Amino acid sequence: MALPASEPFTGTGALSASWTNLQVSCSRDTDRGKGDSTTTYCSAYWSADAFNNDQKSQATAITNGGAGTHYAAVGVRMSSGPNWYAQFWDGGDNDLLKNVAGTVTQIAGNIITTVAANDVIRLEVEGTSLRVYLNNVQQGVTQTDSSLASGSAGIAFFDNGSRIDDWEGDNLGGAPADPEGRLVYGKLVGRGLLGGVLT
Amino acid sequence: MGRRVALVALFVLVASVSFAQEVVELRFYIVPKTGDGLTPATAFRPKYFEGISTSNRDYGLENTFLVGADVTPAQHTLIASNLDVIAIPQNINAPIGLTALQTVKDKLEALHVPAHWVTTEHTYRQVIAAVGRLFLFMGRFHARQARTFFESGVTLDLRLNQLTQTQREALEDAAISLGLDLSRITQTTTIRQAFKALLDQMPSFSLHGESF
Repeated sequence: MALPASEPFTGTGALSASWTNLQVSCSRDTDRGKGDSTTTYCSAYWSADAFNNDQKSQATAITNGGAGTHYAAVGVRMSSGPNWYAQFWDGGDNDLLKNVAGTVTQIAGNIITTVAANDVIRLEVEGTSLRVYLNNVQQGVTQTDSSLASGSAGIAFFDNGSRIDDWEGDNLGGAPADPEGRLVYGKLVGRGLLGGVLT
Repeated sequence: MGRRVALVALFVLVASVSFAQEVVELRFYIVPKTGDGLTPATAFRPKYFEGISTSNRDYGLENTFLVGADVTPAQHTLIASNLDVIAIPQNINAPIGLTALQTVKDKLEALHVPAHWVTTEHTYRQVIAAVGRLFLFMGRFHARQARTFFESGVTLDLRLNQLTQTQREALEDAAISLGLDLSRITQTTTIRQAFKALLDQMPSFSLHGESF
């Protein structure tokens, strides 16, 4: 397959083989995407294609199962660990979170004021910059984080009450990023030159 | 005519009150974490900022956030009144000065943030820049190692040759993954010196729209 990736969630049941679940699985429910747990995070990334480090993930909000209890999200740099950056929404509590090896931390609080049905939410990561868009309008300010260097675009949920549709994932424009995920600034060095200095 | 003047005056009064209620100012804080990470609503987040739009930088698994937030004067007063909050002066371009110098250094060092380099000539902006860059580095350390750097017995005063080989390799791995130059760091370098050498190489960043 080739990017951009898209998922209409047609039908009901497990996600297609193009997806790899992290934590608890995600699935399809009558042409919508959803999480499968009632108590924890569910997440999955598109594994049919390899993503550059600079990438984006977007989906349409359909329903929110309940403020403060049911969330949907679009994620980037998702990988086993579990690791991800994800923009969550439940309608009113819409935070940008990161999951680093299972520790979930807030990068930005209330970055989107409200999310309504049919709003399109997109999360982009470029280098160490994270940008959130609602209906193609950037929300809040650009955030910075350097924890996660690589991974794939995908989706996430908390609890199973929220539904999304029409997910899309793609690389951002430009040249492929450094395969080691190193920051592109100043002097780039390799383990072969400096490895062992501290050891 | 008198009624019109009164209406205009009332409008100005209402507009002034509304404007006064909405005045917010960008402030920066260093605060502890709260939350348990188990749900989006209880993800690890800065303490005292519930319902406020914030931009946060965590110090890896350390119990500390650097926060940028638009707050009203009343919100700032409430947040800053907590003993575990470091409220950075609003004029971040002001030099730290002699009166505040030792306080700044003591508070940072208590959070495992090296402050030996801070002088009266440095501005609060420079301190925020250093703290933020170190926090970004420690975020990568956490992602690569899935554990805290400051394990039992590890302090800023230790030399690198006083760490275990595993601890040294972990630090080196995080630095190399970010493309940082380790040539100024040796076995006898202290952790505070090593951290300063590393954070000096981290790129500039923005926090709640302010560039550092």
